[in-house]
Amino acid sequence: MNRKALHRREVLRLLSVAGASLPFMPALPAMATPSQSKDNPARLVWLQLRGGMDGLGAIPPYGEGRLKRLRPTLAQETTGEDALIPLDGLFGLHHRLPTFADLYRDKELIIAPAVGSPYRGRSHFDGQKILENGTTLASTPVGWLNRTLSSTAANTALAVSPAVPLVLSGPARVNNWSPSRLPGTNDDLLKRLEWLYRNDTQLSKRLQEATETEGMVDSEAANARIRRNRVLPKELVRQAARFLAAPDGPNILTLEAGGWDTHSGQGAGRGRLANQLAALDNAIAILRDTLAAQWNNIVVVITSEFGRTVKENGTNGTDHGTGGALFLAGGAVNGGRIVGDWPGLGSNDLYQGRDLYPATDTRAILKGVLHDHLAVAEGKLHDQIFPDSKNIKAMGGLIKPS
Amino acid sequence: MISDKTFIAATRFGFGEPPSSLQEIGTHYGDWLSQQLQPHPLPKELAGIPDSATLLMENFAMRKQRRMDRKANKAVKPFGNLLRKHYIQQAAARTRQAMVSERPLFERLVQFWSNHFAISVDKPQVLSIAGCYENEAIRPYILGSFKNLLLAVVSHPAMLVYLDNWTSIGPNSQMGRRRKKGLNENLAREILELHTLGVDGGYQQADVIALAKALTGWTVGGVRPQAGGKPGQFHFLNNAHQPGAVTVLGKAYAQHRAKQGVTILEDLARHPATAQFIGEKLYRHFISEQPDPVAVEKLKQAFLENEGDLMAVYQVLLNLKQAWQPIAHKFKTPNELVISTYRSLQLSAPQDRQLVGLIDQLGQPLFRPGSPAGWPERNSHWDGGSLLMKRIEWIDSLSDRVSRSVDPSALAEGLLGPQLSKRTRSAVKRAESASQSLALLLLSPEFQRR
Repeated sequence: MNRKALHRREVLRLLSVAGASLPFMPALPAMATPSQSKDNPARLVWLQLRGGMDGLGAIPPYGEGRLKRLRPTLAQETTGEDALIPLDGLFGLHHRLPTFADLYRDKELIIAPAVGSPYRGRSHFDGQKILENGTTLASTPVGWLNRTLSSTAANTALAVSPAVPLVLSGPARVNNWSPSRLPGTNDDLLKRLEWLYRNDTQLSKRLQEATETEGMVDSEAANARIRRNRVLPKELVRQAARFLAAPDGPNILTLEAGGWDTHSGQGAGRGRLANQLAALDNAIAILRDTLAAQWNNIVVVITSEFGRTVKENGTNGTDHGTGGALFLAGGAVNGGRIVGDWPGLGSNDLYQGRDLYPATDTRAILKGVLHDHLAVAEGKLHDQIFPDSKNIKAMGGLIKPS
Repeated sequence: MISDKTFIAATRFGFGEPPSSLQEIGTHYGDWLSQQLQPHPLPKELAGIPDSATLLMENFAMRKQRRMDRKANKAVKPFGNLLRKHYIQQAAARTRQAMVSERPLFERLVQFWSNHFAISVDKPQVLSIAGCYENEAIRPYILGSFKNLLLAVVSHPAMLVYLDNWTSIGPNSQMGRRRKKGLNENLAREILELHTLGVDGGYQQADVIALAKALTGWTVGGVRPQAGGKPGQFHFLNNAHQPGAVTVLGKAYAQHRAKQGVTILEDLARHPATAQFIGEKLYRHFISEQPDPVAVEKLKQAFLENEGDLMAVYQVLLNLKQAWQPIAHKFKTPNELVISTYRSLQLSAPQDRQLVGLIDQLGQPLFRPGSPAGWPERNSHWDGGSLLMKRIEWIDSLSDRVSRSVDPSALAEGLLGPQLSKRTRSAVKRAESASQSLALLLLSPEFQRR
């Protein structure tokens, strides 16, 4: 297959206006020195968008003339009330991502517009499993972030969701929290339950995790009405931020958001996708504002199991695709850049003639973040944490040198 | 003293029974189970629910009114509350039915198939018909052939709307050529991946597209004026149907109109991969997350040899030795926990809104699994620290309210029988109050699993 990557980059340099460039993947520096201070340890947030977020909607490559033709009702305008936010001559941001635009300008956002896991099917469930377990097989029941915990000493993790997601599942212990509207329970009952569950491996473990986490919750916040049907409700994100900010709190946290599977009525400047992006943008703003003191040592990784079809479908939506978007946001991010090759939208550039080609393996970016931000040894990246991935080089330069 | 098998029949295959009922069932647990699998009329609890066609049309009419009001810049009359009212009525009714039914095995099977063919009300168009869908497309068909169940599900307006098939148009159909609108693959993909063959069942992307083409025209009547058809019911719209033969799994289908899709579905319903997939799912639901391959093979063969007759498969399931071994592998889902608590204690259920809200709070919003894959059959999905805490909180508060009418020590013996461990017996006896005693019983590993 003849990837026209080089040609694309030449074209982009000519179009580039605001100075955003697409560097080649720089080689990993021999000794990465991540910033790890006791007062402000390196923190990582994994924000997983379930359902296949449309990367071309979040990061519209408006510089590609054919976009309008491929997406007559979904391509965003470049002028008018709902105009996209241009970044360079090729890429823009959806106008409901103003915080992302601010972060980009402040050099605290990296955008990767064409990434993918090794998964090449189009099932949400298998796609998510492979994104989360960091392998090439959906059946692996342990997540790469759990293996990261097993391979390192100083990290602790919390899943802010009703159940521990696969990315954090595995032998390494993690905590789990989500808000409750039920009345609290008393200590005596909990003590007796501990005794009752002593011979039961599953229940005793879960009870211990539950009681540890409850101890860290701000009860007022937890009792505040958290609207269940909302994507990334404000109070939930605020509480997640508080967990991260707590002095003995976790330094790794996962969040998730659904509602991205826009098969119909996706909308352009307005509509389903726009509303989802607005909620995502708001969540990042809350993290940034609540974690002001810790923000300069935080990386938030935002991605989805795959992107969506390049052409819109018969119901003003898009179907499951392959290449998609990934964002790195945070004060520790070496941002204001777009990384990875851009394969283009020409019919010969697409994967199977319908999807954006995943030019960068998601694991390359994750390895770069783990190495440079969390000081994970390079050797561990290529076989323990992401098994059988020696051919995937870690992408360097993603994190600000300390 | 009840036996292991009586207890297993009641809790693993049913939704739990009070001590008096366990005594009555006694050694006749086999008959008790089989007589539940007889056809019977729609239960009283569910009788008051309007049909899906009426409710769907009501939903669409309100959405249309909202669009028109928006265009005319008029104030939009909110209708969310009305739709939610229907949703709550239906979710509460089916939960209550599971609590009171004399056929708990049948109710469990309804819920199993409803989850297998899941829709989710986070798609607002189906909010007011999720329960109707279960009553109309699942309940009447679970004692018959898989083929008929599959056809009922795929042709039900709730599924056609949920997975966007109702607006899918064949590119070369009359409408397709005129409007340049096109195909939606969603339903076809989920039929192959989730309903029949399973994700490893050996189909390709080309098969998804082929099935999607065959299913064009399967839509809902009366919603678009020019489409015709009975309002809110299945309607085949030939103008939207992709003409021509399609090939699925190497076989060509040249039938016309709806017959093309029907024939493909019939073939999928008798495919060995489907038999395997369904066998595994039944095992995972009833027995454990790690299916025994020999047992699954028996279920698969029963399916294939009897042309997908589900009664034959259930017979094999009920006779598996793994089904009767005393160790409980399945952690009760929030739904099962609430139903079994109310059943076992013979408590009257709270009112609709509270009941549905409770199960939601415990982590399982009814009819809203969030995806067509339904709720996973994984203990780890339900036992996470935070969900465990919520069970504890609920049971603690429930026990406070009802302990006066219960004798927890006697209940422990009568309810759990041979399953009652020394540790649980001791914890219940040494509790500081009747309320705490009951809470410990309900939170015991023996009651938390089935």
